[in-house]
Formats: sequence, C-alpha cells, structure tokens
Amino acid sequence: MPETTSQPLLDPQFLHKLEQLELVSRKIFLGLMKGERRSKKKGQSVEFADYKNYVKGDDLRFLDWNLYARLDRLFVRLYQEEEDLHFYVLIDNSLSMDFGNPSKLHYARQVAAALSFIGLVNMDRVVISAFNDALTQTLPAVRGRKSLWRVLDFLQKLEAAGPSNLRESLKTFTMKSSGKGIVILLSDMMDKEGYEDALRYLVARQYDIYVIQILSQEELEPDVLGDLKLVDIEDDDEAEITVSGPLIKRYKHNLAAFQGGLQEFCNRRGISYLMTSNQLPFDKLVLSYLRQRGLVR
Amino acid sequence: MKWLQTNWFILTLIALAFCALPGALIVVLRLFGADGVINGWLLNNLNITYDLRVPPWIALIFVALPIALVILYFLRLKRKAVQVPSTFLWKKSVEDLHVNSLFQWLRNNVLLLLQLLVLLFLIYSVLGFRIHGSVGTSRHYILLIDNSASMSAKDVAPTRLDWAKAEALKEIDAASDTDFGMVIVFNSKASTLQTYTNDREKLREAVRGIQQTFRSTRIEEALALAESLANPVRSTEDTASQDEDVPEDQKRTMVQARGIDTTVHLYSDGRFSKLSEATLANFNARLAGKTSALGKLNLQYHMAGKIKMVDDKPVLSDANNLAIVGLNVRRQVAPGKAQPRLIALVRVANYRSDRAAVRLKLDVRDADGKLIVPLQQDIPIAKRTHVAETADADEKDEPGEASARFQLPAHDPGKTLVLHAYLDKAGDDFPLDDHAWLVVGTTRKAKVLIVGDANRVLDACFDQEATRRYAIFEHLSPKELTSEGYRKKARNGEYDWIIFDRCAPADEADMPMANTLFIDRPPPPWVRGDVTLKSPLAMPSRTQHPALRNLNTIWDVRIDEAFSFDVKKNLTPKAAAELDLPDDDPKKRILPTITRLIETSNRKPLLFTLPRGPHTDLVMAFALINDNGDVMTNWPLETSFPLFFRNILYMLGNVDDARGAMQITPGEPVVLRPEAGFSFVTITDPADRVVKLTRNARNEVLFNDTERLGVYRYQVSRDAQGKQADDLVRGLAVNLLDANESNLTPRVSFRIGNEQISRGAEKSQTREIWKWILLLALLLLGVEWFIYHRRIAV
Repeated sequence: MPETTSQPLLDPQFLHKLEQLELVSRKIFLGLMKGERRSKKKGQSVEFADYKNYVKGDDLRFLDWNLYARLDRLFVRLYQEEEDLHFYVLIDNSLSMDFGNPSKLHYARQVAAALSFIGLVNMDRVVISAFNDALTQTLPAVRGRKSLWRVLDFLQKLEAAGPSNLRESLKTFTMKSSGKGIVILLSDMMDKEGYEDALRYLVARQYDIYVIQILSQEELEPDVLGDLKLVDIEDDDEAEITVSGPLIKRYKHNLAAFQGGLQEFCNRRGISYLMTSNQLPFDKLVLSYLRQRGLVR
Repeated sequence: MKWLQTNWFILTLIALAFCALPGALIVVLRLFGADGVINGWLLNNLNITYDLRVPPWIALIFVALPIALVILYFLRLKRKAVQVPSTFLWKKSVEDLHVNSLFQWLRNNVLLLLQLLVLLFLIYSVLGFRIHGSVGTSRHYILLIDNSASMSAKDVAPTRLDWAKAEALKEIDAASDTDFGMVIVFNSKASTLQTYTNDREKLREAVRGIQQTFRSTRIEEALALAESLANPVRSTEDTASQDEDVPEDQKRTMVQARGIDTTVHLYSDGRFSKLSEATLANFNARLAGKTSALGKLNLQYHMAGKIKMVDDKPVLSDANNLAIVGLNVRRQVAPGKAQPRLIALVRVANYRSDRAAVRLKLDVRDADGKLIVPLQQDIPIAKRTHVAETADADEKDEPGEASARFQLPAHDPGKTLVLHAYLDKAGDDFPLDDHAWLVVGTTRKAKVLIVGDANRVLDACFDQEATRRYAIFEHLSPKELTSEGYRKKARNGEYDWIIFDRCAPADEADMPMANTLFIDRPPPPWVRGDVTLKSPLAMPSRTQHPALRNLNTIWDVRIDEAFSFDVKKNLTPKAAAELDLPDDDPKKRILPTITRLIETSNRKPLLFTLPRGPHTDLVMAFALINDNGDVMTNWPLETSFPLFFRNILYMLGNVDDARGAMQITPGEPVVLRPEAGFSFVTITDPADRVVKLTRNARNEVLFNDTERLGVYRYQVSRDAQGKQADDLVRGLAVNLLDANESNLTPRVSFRIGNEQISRGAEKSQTREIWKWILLLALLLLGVEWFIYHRRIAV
C-alpha cells in the first residue's frame, strides 16, 4: 500500500489556523482538573452560579454576609466551575485502513493530529487510542500545547496491523476509560461483525460521539476489470467476481445502503456521522466540514 | 408453469445441445470418410445434402467451440488476485446478483444462450446444407482448361492458369446438384481429369489439381473429347446390324443415339493453331452431316490474359514478350580445312509493338556443364506486325524477328557440346521462352555385321571413308551362323543391322535382335524355293519409303535372275502347318504384311520388307553377285545403288549423324538410340533427377518424362547391372521454341469451322458470402464478449 508516513502530519500554517479553533462538546462533562471550560460542577471561579444553604464544613470564605444581614440565614455562594474536557480519539489501525493513496490510516492520523492539536491548545485532556481487533495502543491523557510532540510521535508510530473488531475494541475502550467527553471514531467501519454493538457501548457511556468514516477512492469508485479474485486484506477471505456493469451497479448500491444504514443508526442515537473520502483534503475536512458539523468552532 | 419459469434456462441449454448434436455427428462422421453415406441418408430421408465448406478439422473446432464455451462458463476462470480492504460489500453484491449454485449461477445468462445460438448457426452454415427441391432440368457442362506453357504468363496475377482455375471453380460453384460437370485439361494433348459427375467436390479437386506444363497448345483433341460425348455418332447397334432371322418377340427396339446439350467452358488464351477442315471433318457433328462442327456443344470462351484497351478497343498487337524461337547448329566446311566449323543460329522474336534491343548470350558448355566459352551479341529486333482479320483474309500476326550467328569453337565430334542461348534481362512477362538449349551430339555409328562369302560389290560399297564415318563393319562366314558366338551376339542385340548375303540362319530362332538385309534369300521360316524370275522388270512401288528416298533411276536397273516370293507359298511346311491351327491356339501363325518396295510388272516382289517384332527384315530377291563372282545386276553401276545403301544404312542401322540435333518439345516422348549393345541408360534431367531405363528389344530406350525445359544428360551402361556408365555423356535438349506459345496476346475470338467464338464476360455470379457471414458472426461474438466485460453498456 502506498504510505505517506514520512510526510509531516501537520504543517505549521495549518497549525496556525487550528489555533483559532476549539472543540465543542454538546454535553458538558466533569473533569478531574480545573480547566478552561465550564463544568457542570459548581466551583471556584469568578462566574457566580447559585446559592446554597450553609452546612457544616462549607468553606466560610464563600458565605454571603450581605444575605445573612438581610435574611439572617447563612448562604454559601456557588461559582461556576471551569474544568478540562476529555477528548478521546479512536483510530482504527486494522489492515483495511492501510489502503488507498493516501492510505486511510494516514488520513485518519492527520485528522486525529489536527483535532488533538485543537484539544491541546484549549487545555483539553486528549486521549488517543488505536485499535484493530482489540485496543492496541493508547496515548495516556495529555494536555497543553507542549504535549503536541507526544501526540504526533504517537500517531507517527502507528502502524496498520491485524484484522478489525469494532465491537471488542470499543467494549474494552468503554470499560477502561473513566471520564466522559468527546469520542472521535476514525474508521472505515467495514466490520463484517457489524458496527451496531460497538457504537451502542459508546452511546451507553454518554459520550459525545463523532463517527468519521474514511473510505478510499477505490472503495467508492471501484476501478476493476475482468475476472478477479478479490482477497480481503485482513482475513484473506476471497470473493470471485466477474466485473460487469450490473455487478458494479450492485456494489455501489450496496455501499450507499451501508452508508445510509450507518447514518440512520447514528442519527437515531445522537451520534454525529460523517463520511469522507481519502481524496478530500483533510484540512478542508477539519476547517470546513467538522465546523459545519459543530465539532469545532 | 412455475417449474418452467424456474428451469427455462437449463431447458433451453439442453435444447440447444440437441440442436447441435446432428451437426457434430455429421462432422465427426465426415472425419471418418463417411460423407457419402451421410449424404445418401440425408437425401433419401430429408431431401437435403451437405457440402462441408471448410476442411473437416476446422469444422471440428467449430463443433468443439460450444462445448468449450459452456465449460468456460461452468468452470471458474483463472482469476487475477486483487487485494481489497474488505470483500464485505463485494460478496454482498455478488450474492445479490446470483446465488452460488451451479445452474442458478447461470440463470438468466442470456448472453451464453445467445453465444451458443450464434455458434450453432455457424456450425450449420459451414455444413453448407442444400435443400433438394423438385428435380429441375439437369445441365451438362465441360470445363476445358488450358495448361500449356503460355498459361504460365504473369500478366494476370498470379498466372493465367491460376486465373483459369479460379474462374472454373466459380463455374462449379454456380452449378446446381443436378448439373453434371466434367473437367478436361489440354496442352499438346488432352486428358479427362474428371468424367461427368454432379459431385462438385470431385470437380473442384480435379480443377485444383491441375499443374502447369511447358507444353504447346492443341485444342483439337480436347474438343474431340468433349464433342464425342455431346454428339455421339449413330449407335452401331441399330436395325441394320440386327440379324434377320431373329424371332419377332426377341427383336430389340433400337433407339437413335441422342446427343446431350453441353456447355463447354474453355479457359485458355486462345493461342492454339487454327483447326483445319480435315480435323473438323472427323468431328462427330460433321460425320453426322451437320454443318456446324460443334453440334450440341455450346462453346463459351473465357479468355485468360490481359489485353490492352485503347478507346474501348482491344490492342491485339502488343505483348510484353521477347522470345527465342529458333536455335540451330550448322556445320560449315571452310575451304581448305578438313574439320567443318560449327555455326549456331539463333532466332529471336519480338512481340512488342515497338522495336526492341536485347543482349543475346550464348554459353557453350561441355557435357558436364563446364563453361567453355561465353558468347554474346546485342541485337535489335523489329516491331511486331499485326493486321486484323477481315472477311477475306485471316489475321496476320507476325512478330519482329532477328537472327544472330555465333561461330562456335572447334568441336571434337566425339564429345557432346551443350549450347545455352538466353536473352539477358529481357524484362518480359514470359521468362520461359527467353532460354533455349541445343545439344550438339556425337555421331551415332551403326554396328553392322555382314554374313556371307566375299562380295566385292558390298565391299566396294562399305569399305570407304564416307561410310566408315557412320558404321562399323564386321564380317562373318556363313558357316559360323550355327556357332554359339554368333547366336549369343545376335540374341543380345549387339548389332544394329545384319546383312545376310546369299545365306540365312537355319532356324527362325537364330534370327538376330537386329534389322536385317537378306540378299537372294528370304529370312526363315521362308525358303528361297526353286521358282525363279528371269530378267524381271524392276518397278519401284513405294517411292516415298525411306529406303528408296532420292532414288530416281530404278527403272534402269536390270536383273538377271530373282527368286519368286510368295508370303504363303515360300513358308517351310512346318510353318505352313501352323497357319491352319485353330484361332485360340497360341502357336497359330499369322502372316506378316509384306511391303513391296520394288516389284515386277506382275507384282512379284523384288525388294520388300517383312516386319519382325520391333525389327524390320529387308529382303532383296536377287543376288548382287553369284557364287562365281559374276555380277547378277547392273544396279551397282547405277547412281541409285550407293544412295540406296546409304538410305538403308541410316534406316536399318539407326544412324544418327547429329547434323540436326533433336528438337524436342516438352512432354514429347523421345527415343534414345545409343550404340548397339548397351543395357541401361541413366538420364539426369534439368532438375538433377536421375532416371534409369532399360533398353528394349530394338536397342533403344523410350523416354517420355520430358516435361521440364533444359538439357537432359544421359549415359549408357554396357554391363547387365547398369553400374558402370560409359564415359561419354550425351544430351538432349527440350525447348519451348513455339511462336504460338510465345505470343502472349490472348485471342479475343477464334473460329471453329463456321462458328466464330468470342470471349465471354468473367463469371460474376455466386460469390460465396458464407465466409464473410462467418467472420461477421465471430466478430460479433468477440465484440459482445468485450462489451460485456468492459461494461461499456451498463
């Protein structure tokens, strides 16, 4: 497969553009550390949120003495807590992703790098995990611009290997990860076992889920002729075909049905679904398409 | 109905297979040579016949094609392996299109059915079926094809003969099943290659098998052959030949023989000599009293060759050809020189309408082909003169001619000299006549044995320089006739000619294998007898006979006494008794025909010949001298006497003085007569093929494989096994040298008797188009396949 790992994942100009962006979560999640984001939790910040009755043990510094004077009751002032966001990037690095020019995996890495960068500069907690038939590698949570090199290093070293099993991988992921947040799933979703169960695991954890399906041009517009024996790159499964007009027509129909099914499944469960081709420049995807979808602003 | 809907495909497939079965069966049977049986069966039962249009092995491929096609569909093709990210969607798509079971996989594959159908049509198209409708009138046609030398001209590509063959094939194709055709090929002779048949394949094979010859053209025999079938003479068995005493109920009804209307297609360049009235008189139509020589023959002339047209008129006076039309050698005795000089004369003809200049070369070689001297001359040749035929005069068509003389180097008469004359870079359409050969041979001497007592008249005649040049003489006493030595030599044919002077072998069995001259004695089994003729008047009766050639003074010959000869009465009693034996007895003697050369006034033979197998016995019924040495006739004093002996020496001694070297045309049989006493002749033809021939009883060899132009060399062997060849290499040359063949301008029309025959149009009907349909169908199949797989038409 043509590989483009030697190319930098992100170029400086693009990074500069990304600095203007931040990840948007449609849900507000709890974080472990105080971040730059409003949290559901009320806490210490300059922005007032509410009052509550004083109970023993409350910090006396937050007592509202004016209210005590007026109402003769003790109230504690509550402030909006600002906290960091969990940002999970799940990259499918099964063999099927090592296909196309640029390879789907490279494309996924670029998208992951761009989104991670946005997360890092906004002091979000970025976690990147790669999976094929299981969760293979995980970059522990990193924050801050200075961690960019770690992210890039991780992504650069990501190699395609093994067959894919979405269900098992995502099950493991949901069991391992603690915090809530945004989950970006970068995969071709071509799992013979199906994607439904896998996504259900994510939905159950109430993540803000984005499914970005990456397909190569060869998959979208097959350029094959004659009598062929198609060999599945992952499991060596063979399919003998005689390429003909009706067959190609049927294939495209099936592909559209597959995408349609996935989209419908996602829509019903509040998952954002986006299909992209490896031919669509990834910066355009990030700067334009993901903006439209509301993942970044 | 539902079952039908589900299984229609496999049913159609089986139906197609059944349809293909008869075709396949026919092709396979044809391979085993059973086509006659099949056609017979088809004709009897279905009123059709087939005629395979392609070689059987190609037909077999056609039959195998549908099977191969189905196998291709059933068997998985060798597929190219291609890696894809996932076969998930592909599998789903394939499954959507068809389920993987064998027949269901083929279900709805109309393409396969269509392809099989096309192949089926192809199979039956190459089988060339014909429906035999009601029998129409059957037509008779004869294809007369000229394969003489001029038909090898290349003015129509590739040659005129090939053109003629192609045209004849068209004619065969145009014939129907009920038409009967015949193929006759002619050159200097005519032969029937295929007798009347309605099997067109046989006719085609006969036409295809025609080979080019280098012979000249004579159409008489070919026309006579064709004509004998169309115009049969009256049956010999007619009422006149019926016995009168046949009872009424046994009398046969005689039907007048009726001719068949026959179309004769003549494929020729028309360069044959005009048919003489004498020849035409022998044609059956003329014999039957008709004015037309052709009778029921409808002669259609297909002219082979190209004619230049100017203003829509044919130009008959131009053919791109220069030819050697004559090559001769003359001995010229130069004053004061004993050895005569040899002069070669070459005649060159120009058939172009312009003057021509050409370089004529003459290679003088020895018998082994070694070049002795090359000679050459540049000669200008006048243009051809042509005056078209008018009502009063025949066509006058004479080529421009030029002669060249070459003086040859001194020639040893004991050696063979080969001359090869050729036109250097003639650049014409007919290269065959640009070469001519001549063999200046050695003198063939006669080997003569004189048996008898001393005879000064004979001695005076033979014992001289001039005679010794042509003959070798041996003498034998009459007493030795009974010796074994004589008998052996006589039986082996050691001599060309034996003179028995006043003596004869005692028995018929002792007669030599040679020509003889008997003087004053008849050969056994005849005896001289006692009846004599006193002073008979000698009258020549056959002045044209070779023995009497140039003899004018026989009337002056006086003879003292001759014996009276009667072919019956002079027989020995034993031989006479054999005359009366029954017809079926092998010993029954039949009297020979006596040819009287000189006779008396009352028809008693004085000089006569008696044939004896291949030999001739010449009998002189009078002695030249008697036993006392007295002269019995004044003939030796006459000038006719030495001339007579010279004549019979040439005739009976087989002398060939090589003055006029033999001019042999291709295909003409030639008699080779080397010196007496040889047993084999080894002949090497111009293509270096060697033939060994045994001599016949006459000391000669008949050689008839003279089809090639050029020099045939031969050597004789004297031993019985034919191993040791004589040192002397002799030769004979076969040349075209035929002005008619060299004249390449084809005749537009010619006359046979009163009928003017003009060229017809080229056959244009019945071009076979099945080949094109076949090609188109195959192409269609290919395109269909291509489109299907290229998914151009989605």
